[in-house]
Order: sequence, then C-alpha cells, then structure tokens
Amino acid sequence: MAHFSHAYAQGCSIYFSVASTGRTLGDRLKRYDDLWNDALEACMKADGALSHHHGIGMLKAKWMETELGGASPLLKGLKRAIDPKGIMNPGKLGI
Amino acid sequence: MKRLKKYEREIEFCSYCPKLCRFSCPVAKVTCSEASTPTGKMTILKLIKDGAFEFTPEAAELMYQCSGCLLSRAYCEHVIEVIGAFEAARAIAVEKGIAPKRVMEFGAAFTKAGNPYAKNFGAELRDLTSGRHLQKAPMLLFTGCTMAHYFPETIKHAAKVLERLGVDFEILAEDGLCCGYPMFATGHEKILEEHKTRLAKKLAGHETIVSLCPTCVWFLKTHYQKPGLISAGAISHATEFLSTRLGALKLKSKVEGKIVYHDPCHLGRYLGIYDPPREILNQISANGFTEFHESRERSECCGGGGGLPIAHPGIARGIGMHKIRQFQQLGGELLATACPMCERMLERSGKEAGGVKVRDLISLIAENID
Amino acid sequence: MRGQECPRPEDKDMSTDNKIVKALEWLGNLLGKNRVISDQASLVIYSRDIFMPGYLDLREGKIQNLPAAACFPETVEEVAKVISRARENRIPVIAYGAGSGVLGGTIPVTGGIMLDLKRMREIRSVNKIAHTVEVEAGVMGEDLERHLIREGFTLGHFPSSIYCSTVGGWLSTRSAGQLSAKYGKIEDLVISLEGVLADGSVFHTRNTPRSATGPDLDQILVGSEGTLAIITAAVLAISPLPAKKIYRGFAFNDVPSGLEAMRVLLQKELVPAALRLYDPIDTGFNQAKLSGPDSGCLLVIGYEGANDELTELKSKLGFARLLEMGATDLGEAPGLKWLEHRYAVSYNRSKIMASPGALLDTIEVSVIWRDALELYQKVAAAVSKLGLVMAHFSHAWREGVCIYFSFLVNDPDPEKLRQKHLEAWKTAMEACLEIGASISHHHGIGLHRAEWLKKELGVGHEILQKLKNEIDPHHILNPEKLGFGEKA
Ligand SMILES: Cc1cc2nc3c(=O)[nH]c(=O)nc-3n(C[C@H](O)[C@H](O)[C@H](O)COP(=O)(O)OP(=O)(O)OC[C@H]3O[C@@H](n4cnc5c(N)ncnc54)[C@H](O)[C@@H]3O)c2cc1C
Ligand code: SF4
Ligand code: SF4
Repeated sequence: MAHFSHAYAQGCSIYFSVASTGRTLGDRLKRYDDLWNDALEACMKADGALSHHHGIGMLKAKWMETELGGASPLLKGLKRAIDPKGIMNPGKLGI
Repeated sequence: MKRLKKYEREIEFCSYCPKLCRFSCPVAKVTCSEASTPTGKMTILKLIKDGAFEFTPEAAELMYQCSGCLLSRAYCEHVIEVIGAFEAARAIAVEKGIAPKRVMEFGAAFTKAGNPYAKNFGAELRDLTSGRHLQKAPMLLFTGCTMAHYFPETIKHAAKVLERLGVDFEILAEDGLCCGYPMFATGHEKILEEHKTRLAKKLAGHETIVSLCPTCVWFLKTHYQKPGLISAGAISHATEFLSTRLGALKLKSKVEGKIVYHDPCHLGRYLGIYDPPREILNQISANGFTEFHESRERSECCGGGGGLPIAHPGIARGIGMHKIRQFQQLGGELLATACPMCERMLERSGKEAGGVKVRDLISLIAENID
Repeated sequence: MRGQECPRPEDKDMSTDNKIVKALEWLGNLLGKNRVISDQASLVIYSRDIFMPGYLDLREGKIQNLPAAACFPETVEEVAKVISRARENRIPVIAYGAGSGVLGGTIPVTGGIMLDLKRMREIRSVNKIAHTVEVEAGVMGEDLERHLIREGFTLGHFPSSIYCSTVGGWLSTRSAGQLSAKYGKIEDLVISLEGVLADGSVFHTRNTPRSATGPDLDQILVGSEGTLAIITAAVLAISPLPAKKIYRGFAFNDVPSGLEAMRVLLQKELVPAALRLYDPIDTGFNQAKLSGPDSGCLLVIGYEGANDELTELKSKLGFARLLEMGATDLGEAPGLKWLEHRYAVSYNRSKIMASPGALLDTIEVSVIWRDALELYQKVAAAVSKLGLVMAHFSHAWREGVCIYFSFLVNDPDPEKLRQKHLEAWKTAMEACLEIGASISHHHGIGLHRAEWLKKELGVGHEILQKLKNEIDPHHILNPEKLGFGEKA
C-alpha cells in the first residue's frame, strides 16, 4: 500500500509500506531483497529519486551511480578531497 | 575618423552600456557572437575612434553586421539608433578599401545600371504597364528597384488599384530606378552622391511621390526632400496613401485564411507607419489578421535591411528563418507585408522551411477588386 | 597525481602560440570552422565583461586578456568533446553566457578558449503538469520569460540584466530576480541540471522536486561560475502567470523603521513579490522617476499571484501592517512606476562612464536582520568619504536582507580613480567579514572577490579548493576564478 506523504508544486513523495512473508528465513530474505530490487529499479526507470527523506545508507548504495546520472565523479571527488583515507563512515552513500 | 565625431554620444553610450538591448539584436541572435551585439560593435568602433585599435578588414566585417532594423532602439532608455555610427564607419571602410569584398564588388555592380540588380528597368516597366502612365502627372508612382526586380506583378497590381480609384499618376520608368539606399547602407558615398544628382533630376516637378517601397520613402524623405534636392511636398508609402481611400473601392471578395502581418522596419520604426497597413488588412480580410508575438515598435526584422544581404548573406538568411519559424508557430497561412525586400527575404527563407505564402498588401487588394 | 585519470598532453613543451594554432585546428575539426572565431576584433570583445576595471581599460584604450578563440557548441556532447580535448592539451576553457557578470568571471586571465553557450538555446519543453521548464543554458533571460508567458507561466526570475544574461549565467552565479521574495533566487528554482564535468563526463541530475540521496550536487554546481562544470541545460520550476498585480509605494522616516517593517511583513506570513527599501539618498535619486517622497525612505511593495482573492487579501493585510508601523501611503504610482521602469536604472551607467574621470559601481551583500543596520551604516559612512554612496535593500528574506550599494567616485587621474574604486570595495568587503555578513548576495565572486571569499569561507574554501583539484587537477575550467589558486 502507499500514501503520498509530501507534495510540492513539481511532484511528490510516494511512501510505500510493504508486508510479506515466506516459508523459510531464506525465502523471506530473498523476497525482501527482490522487493527492494524491483521497487528501486522501477523507480530509476521512472526517473524518480531513490529517496525522498530516509537517505541512502548501505541499502540503496548500489543504485547511487544511476541516481547521480553521471555526476558521481563530483561526489567522489568531494569525498576524496575531504576524506582521502576514507575513514568517515566507510561504505555508505555508494562512495 | 572625423566622420565618427557626429556619433560620439552613441559610440560612448553603447560601448559603456552593460549590453542592455543585446537580447533583441537579430544579428547577434543568429551569430550568437558577443562581438555582433550593439555594444560589441560599438566597442570596436570606440577603440578605433580612440586610436587604440586599428581599423582592420576584420573590424570592418563587424561594422557590416547590422541590418539597421532599429529594434535595439526599442529597448534603449537613451533611444539610441546605432546604425548611423556603423554607416559612417562603412563609408570609411569603403574609402580605405577595407570593406568586405562583396561590398566593394557591389559598388562596382551598382554603377552599371544605377541599381543593385544591374538591370535596365525602363523598358521593362514600360512594357509592364503597356505604355500607360508615362505622361507627366503631379503624382509620381516610384516603384523602387527591388519591387521592379523581384515583384513586377505587384507594380501592375498597384497600377490597377490606382486606376480604379481614378487617380492620375505617372510611373517612373527609368533605368536608374533606385533611391540609392543600397549605396548609402554599404558605405559607397561617392557613388551615392552621383546617383542622387541624377535621380533628383528625374524626380523634379512632382508634387506628390508615392512609393511601393518603405525604404525608398524613408530615403527620399531624408536624403532628397530634407536637404532640398527635390521639391515634392508629400512623399508617402502606398499603404498610407491607400488606407484612407480604400473605402471607395468595391471588394468582390475578401482574403481568407490566417493572415499574419509583418511590420517592415523601414515602414514601422523608420517612418512610424503602423496603423495604415493594419487598417487595410482589417478591410480586406475575411477574418481579420494575427499579430506576430512581437509587433509594431518591437517587431522583429526580416534580415533584409542595412545591406546585410550583401555583406553577410548567411546572417540575413538566418534572421529571415527566425521570423518564418515564428510565423509557423503561430499557425499562419498567409504572411502579409508591405515591403518588397521583406517579401523577398521572407519568401526565400519560407522556401527553405517548406514553403510559405508571402504577399504584399497591394497585391492582396488588387486581387480582391474587379 | 591523485584522483581522476588524466590523459597526458600530446606535447609537454608545446609553446603557447603553438597550442593556440593547434587549438584552432582541433576546435575547427570538432565544431566546424564557422563555429570557431579567432579574429582579433571579436576576441577583444571576449576579453571583458561588465567588471568595472574592464571599463576603465576601455576608457584608457588598454587591450588585454585576449582569449585564443571563442567557440559555439550546440550539444552537450560537443561541449564534452571540447572539454576533453582542452584537458588533453592543457588549455583553459572559460564558459561564457552573455558576459553580463560584474566581477570579471569570464575574463580569460590565462588565455584559453571561450566556450560561448548561446547556441545552446532551445527551450526544450514546458511541463504544464509539473510546472517546470527544461531549458538550455544559452537561452537569454528575456527570451525564456516571453516564451513562458505565452504558455501561461512565469519563471518569476527578473534580474535587472534579464535583457543581457543567460540561464547558464544565472545558475553559475546564483543570481537573484527582483521578485525574489515570492519566487526565490535561481538556486531555489533549479530542479535538475545537465552538463559536463571538468573531466569531460556528461551528467544529468535527477528531475525530482526533493530528495535525500546524498549532498545536493545541483547546489554545489549552482554558483560554481564555470570552475567545476559547464552547465548545458536545466529543469527549472515555473509558476502560473499572475493574474493580479497590486503595487504600491510607502514612505518611512528613516532606514531603521523601514527595515523593521520589511522584517515584520516577511516573518508574519505577509510575503509580497517585490519588497525594496531605498535609503534617503537613493530615494532622492529616484524621486522624480518613481514619484517617491520628498524626504525619508521610499518602500516599493508589490503583491502578485494567480489567485486574485488571496493576492488582494494579502496586500490588504500587508499594507495595513505597514501603516501600523508608521508608514505613509504614497498610493499606487511609485509601485506601478517602479514596475514599468524596473530595468531602467542600469542605463545610467553609460551616462556616468561617458564622463571622463567618473565611475559608477555597485556592491551587493547579504546580512541577517540583527546586523543589517550596522553594516549599512558602516559601509555608507566609509564609502561616502570617497564619493557618493547610496543603497537600497533590494531582496529580503525571513532571516535577513540584501544591501545593494551604488557608489559614484571621481578622479581626473585614472590611476587614482582605480585606487578609489578598490578602496570602496575593500571597505565594504572588510565590513562584511568583520560583522559576519556575506560578501555577495547574488553577483558572485569572479576574479574580484577571490581574496575576500577565502576569508569568508575559511576552511570551507580549502575544501572547495581540494574539490577543484580533484576533478580539475590542471585547472582547465575558468582558472583563477572563485579564488582557486594552486593546482593539484
Ligand atoms: C545591468 C546589470 C544588471 C544586473 N542585475 C542583476 C540582478 O538583478 N541580479 C543578479 O543576480 N545579477 C545581476 N547582474 C549580474 C549578472 O547579470 C548576473 O551575474 C548573470 O547571472 C550573469 O549571466 P551571464 O549569462 O551574463 O553570465 P556571464 O557573465 O557570461 O558568466 C558569469 C559566470 O558564470 C560562468 N558561466 C556562464 N554560463 C555558464 C554555464 N553555462 N556553465 C558554467 N558556467 C557558466 C562564467 O564563466 C562566469 O564565471 C546584473 C548585471 C548587469 C550588467
Ligand atoms: S542602444 Fe542603448 S541599450 Fe543598446 S547598447 Fe546602446 S546604449 Fe545600450
Ligand atoms: S539596428 Fe538591429 S541589427 Fe543593428 S544593432 Fe540594433 S538590433 Fe542589431
């Protein structure tokens, strides 16, 4: 199910809530991963943004390259510029 | 360089100006070069005037990048007309022999027959009007060379309309059928002076001159009538002459389709004639007419003025294309105007854009009367 | 060398002349000869923008800072090719909109290629559902606004330079329009950007209203003045064309009471579209043109919007509030006249510059309400020792205000005139730094404010410098601007 929880003149945030189940833990985990994959692939295809307000963290990191539409050198450059050794929260934001 | 002194204010104001009229300049719109803007061209001229930059052939090229459309004036709080300074610079360039090659050749071509088309119009016009209207009459119909060259039919149409109105007039059917503006605009001062003397003699003895070409009207007024070279009291454009008399004619039909009217720069901004062509259109059209997005004082140029088609034909064509695109965006079916140069430019650009019907108001009138 | 892989130059010892000859060749091959210009007369024009010392050069007949060429790409791919080749050849590329920048942002101080974006001038689409326009960087402001008006919209962005500036220039300098209170500055209107990074890679940021996907890269690029990327297109937010415009003039006794009233309106949900307060000298200067008061301060206020009832109600409440706060109602005339002549003031520059020994320049700064008066008084007092100074408060926000100083100085000696000009700037910039205000509200940094920017940003500038070095190690994009000094 979904609610449209934040709205602007240009567009809005879609807030999906999902519930699912599976027989084994493995099933459930797979379903969880598939669900995210399908949802975010669809989001990228539809030119939406990966996140409206929860952020990226680790979960959405692998889509960041697509999300940034070619501008990732800028973000990576910024990271290298101020954190050349990569000691600040490594592995997040896909950089 | 003394010639530039006269334009000191314009040159100084424009070169110190933060380019305030720049978006409007049709030449700069086509080239996209900063050097083509009114401020850009004037800055070069200032540096030349001040002796800081040599007047090179490249600088001369820039002096010819102006159609003299006066559109920039519409966005200038100082109401500056930049073209005067460029005309002065062009005269210097021609004198020095550094004007663009096309311009130098144009001067030579003009002297052949006293018009830019190296054509002997006398015989042609006599044929065209079957020898009528050659007797001296107080009113002279001055067709202008561009009309005679490109649109002889319109001259027939004008004669028909005047005949129906019962106006007694004479057609100037002479070879040197040109007001001289092309020489003026390209800086050929010497050729112009000689031409003016010859033409003034032919124009002698007429009280009224009506022309089909707005450029001729403006040029005859400012360069013949004002300095006293000719004695004619009234010089007017055909639309001015006809707009008040049209009521006397019976229209057999009206012009159909979506008509868009283009204000010729020389008719509008130079002569201030905006309403007469519109009054004519209102009378002869079935469903009125449409204005361009920008019209009257802000109307955009066709690219044909200021010798631009001679010096920079590519730019002139680009300007025409811009206008045609606007016409097509408006969904126009018939592009009406009142100047042979505009008609020619728009027709040519229209061809490139898949064909556009361009007509002079005179023809539209003539075709709808018996 | 750290960071991005950077191709080796073809010939390390290439002399500058040789580089130029080569550049003309490869540019011609990439874009076609007719889209590269290199004649001296045209290059002289590309050597300056609206930065005051350039005008003094012009007056003195000095010609300097000529670029090698100007070129006119038409697509983002062409821009990318030019950047990549320039990077291989270590030749600077300076983005050029319409050169209306006032801080020397486009001056090719180290030579190079002017990348004039005005052939990227398509208004790609107007999205009437999302209220956005996708527009290329080289579109002139007035052309865009007229197009939108015909579609029933407005960008709401009206810098006084709208006749002579481009969308790309606006984005690159964080420009402000006269109705900023209602529509925001350009950084508030940007939804997404297309362009080319300094390493030659093409990017299209996401066309979404808001997101939480890492730092906002659009906002790093907006205001980067061509030093990090070339912007080739943008999606901008648009608004319905206002149906109702209610403009009016009020008079206040002095600057403090006028400023107070502005603050209250903005903080009490009575935000107008236009809100400008003129100090007594600026009021006097505009008195005739705007039918302003004989003394005190003129306040011009205008409400507009697509909803008639709402606009009327807001204006009624807003005007009432001003009266409560001691304003005198001057009627509609000053408001309507301002609206009519809103771009007229810039024409004065010609008149003054055409008189030898004089110059007129402007300085805009940004300050929170608490410190506005102090900054105003400090700068006005100091600059008035050098010449005539006046100010208007031209953009106002809930938190603070932009002070826009205009100053006129004279000196028959050209060198001394330059010194006075610099002195006025120094005074104003140092006052900002001391008080904690921002040295620029909307004109940007360019060459002129570089040193002061470093002081304003402190460690922030070091970070920016490092970012610059990471993505543009050889400083190909607009070298020396924004205070970017040392190369990687
Ligand atoms: C009379 C006058 C009035 C003004 N009024 C205002 C005003 O009301 N509000 C305001 O904010 N400003 C104003 N300005 C300043 C100026 O118009 C703005 O800074 C404007 O945004 C510059 O636009 P431009 O297209 O002329 O850019 P330019 O001057 O050509 O360039 C400005 C800077 O941006 C860079 N740049 C340009 N285009 C791009 C691009 N596509 N990609 C990357 N970098 C680029 C250039 O390299 C340069 O550093 C005024 C200027 C004048 C002369
Ligand atoms: S014509 Fe007027 S607006 Fe245009 S450059 Fe000259 S002074 Fe400026
Ligand atoms: S007269 Fe027309 S072509 Fe000439 S500079 Fe002005 S706007 Fe441009």
